[in-house]
Amino acid sequence: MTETNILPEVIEAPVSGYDAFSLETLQDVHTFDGEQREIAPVVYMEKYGYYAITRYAEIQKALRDWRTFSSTDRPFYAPSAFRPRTLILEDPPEHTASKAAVFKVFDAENLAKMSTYFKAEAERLIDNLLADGPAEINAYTDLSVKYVLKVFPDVLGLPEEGRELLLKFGDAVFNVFGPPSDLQAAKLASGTEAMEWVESNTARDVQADGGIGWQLYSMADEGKISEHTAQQILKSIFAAGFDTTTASIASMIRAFADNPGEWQKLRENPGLVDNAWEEAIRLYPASRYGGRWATKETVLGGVRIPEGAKILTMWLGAGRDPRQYDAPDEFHVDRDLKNAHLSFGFGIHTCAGNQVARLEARTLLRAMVERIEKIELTGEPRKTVNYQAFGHDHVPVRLTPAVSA
Amino acid sequence: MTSETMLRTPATLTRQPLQVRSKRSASDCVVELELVHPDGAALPGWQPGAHIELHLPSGLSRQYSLCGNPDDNSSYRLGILNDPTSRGGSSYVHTGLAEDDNLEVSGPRNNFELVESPEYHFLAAGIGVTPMMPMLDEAERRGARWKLTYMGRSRSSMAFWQELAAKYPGKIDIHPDDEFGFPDLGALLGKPRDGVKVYACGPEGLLRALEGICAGWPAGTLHLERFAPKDPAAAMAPAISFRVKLALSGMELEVPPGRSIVEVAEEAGAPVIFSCMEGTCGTCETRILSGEADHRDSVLSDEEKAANEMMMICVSRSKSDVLELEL
Repeated sequence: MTETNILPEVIEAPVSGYDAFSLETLQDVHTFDGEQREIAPVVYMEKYGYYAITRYAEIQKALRDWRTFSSTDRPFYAPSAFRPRTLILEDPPEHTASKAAVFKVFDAENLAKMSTYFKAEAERLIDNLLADGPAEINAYTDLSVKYVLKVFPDVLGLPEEGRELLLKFGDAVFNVFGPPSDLQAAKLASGTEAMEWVESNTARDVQADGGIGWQLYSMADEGKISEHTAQQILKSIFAAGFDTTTASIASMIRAFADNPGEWQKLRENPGLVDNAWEEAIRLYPASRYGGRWATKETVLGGVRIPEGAKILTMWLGAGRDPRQYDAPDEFHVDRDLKNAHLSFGFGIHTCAGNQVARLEARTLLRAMVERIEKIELTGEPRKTVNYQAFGHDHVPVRLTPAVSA
Repeated sequence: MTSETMLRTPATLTRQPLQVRSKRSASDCVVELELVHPDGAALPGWQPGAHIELHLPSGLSRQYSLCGNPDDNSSYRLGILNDPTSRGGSSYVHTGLAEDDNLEVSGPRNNFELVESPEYHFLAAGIGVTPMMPMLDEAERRGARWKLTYMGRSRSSMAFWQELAAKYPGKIDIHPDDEFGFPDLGALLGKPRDGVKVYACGPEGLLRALEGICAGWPAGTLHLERFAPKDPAAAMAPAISFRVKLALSGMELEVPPGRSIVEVAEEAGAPVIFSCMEGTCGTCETRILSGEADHRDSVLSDEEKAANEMMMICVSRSKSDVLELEL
């Protein structure tokens, strides 16, 4: 790529009056982020002085080029107890060491152990829900939260008491990344309640032998990471591992309730379970955007980005980019995703827990497909209002058990 | 949503849970699995040379040859090597999987069909014996002349040899390295001639040696089954060993067939990160300093592949003898 090839076609980023963080926007982020995506691959958000990358191809390209699009700073960044610098605000080589450590505790061997446990609990939960025939539930609290707060904290070795604080902690973490507002203040206040629980449960001396936390601190003993990093990674797992999966699973159930034909298709072909989950999080990602800064002037999608620009990567909107997906607002369990979406990010900062999240969700979905004949909405689903996270906290459904063979 | 917008499901996606009816030790490093339909239903039919794919709970998928009787549709029989370099595929089968467990299975598929011939020479090394077993029965049924040369490290490591020797006395040539050393393959095959097909399955070194020897034989003589790489793109090209220079770590490592740059570099203690291990998530993207990559990922565009600047080291390999990476 040479400058002379690029220069004649380069434009300045269109200036947008878009407020990605207003309460109005947060009620319907797919519509509003989608409008920005259709303006240009990169827009300049005048109100805050930040750039936004809006389309699939350009976001993927930026996430791969970490030298130009660095993670060491981002829009709205200020040090916060809710957002340690470890992992998410690192570039290589620091990032590589932290990331290798977290991938190590989610390696194939640990996942295989988790798998057996997740499956047993998923089957038990659904059998209980359907013990007396059709059940009317809130798929968020009665299914998604119940399952996730059971299986993953168990694997981490956390006490039963106080687990719901993980959701408050996550909710605060995903609202740090945005401008000060009443919404942010309320979320941070709520998250503060959880802080003490998180601090005490990430401490070295409470980690069960052989558990995930113990494995991380053992890596510190081996000199692979510092003890501080071990604790920060564990905290990151607490921060990113609960709000996200509970939201995604609830959103997935909504997608099936909205599309009964897709549930039937999956029932007839359970081999599509993995793909159905990927399609659900393409449609409803748990995270709306990420942040980077430009270490040098660059051109992306024909748009100039100046050195030092702070950038939002708007991957929720990119999940419905019509340049990447046909009929992007539709939910098809057999959609050919061409091996990719951006809902776990992309490149070196790919979600560290993606394999665990996938295992949790696929295992639950498989248990559901085997046991549930029909999923019907019984009321209006409600989306969460949050800066960076996206999800549903109310998905009222009736589950009809399958007639067992 | 209309039927026009619905995409067809490729047949390769079809999976079914099968149950482990039995799990037995078949040698000091091989287990024999028998898989049945949980409801006792008949399983899809297959021909000698076919394999099925196991989808393991960790998300890994692995292909294994069927080594039972194709006429018996009540179960699938597999022999699985506990590969010490496994990233969790075969080791899970050996240590995690138990009788009565369910396992997602797709297939069978066949890339190694037994063509008609008046005479066959089967060569198997190690776990490569598995696809040969139903082929021997089929060759016998066709009334062809045949023999099997079965090589391995030692008798204790070689699965099924007693069963085969008892079933086909005089036709099975057992060749443990610790008793006879590595065989002279040229002498085993004899002079090039018409009317014989050579079927071989085993490690890459054996297969390459056979390719060299059979270059002088009539076209179509040699039929090979390579130990399956984990993704279809990689299956298209032969996996050969190469050296990788890690510029930042100051190491030079050998990447053998069947292992990835990621695995070899991680084992040597170089700082690498990776997640999907199938060339889709972009986590392990690495800059190429010299040499030419053999790209096998789904991330890079054709232009980027041709530019030879970056590569996904979880699946991609090298076209040059040495590949230097910024790692």
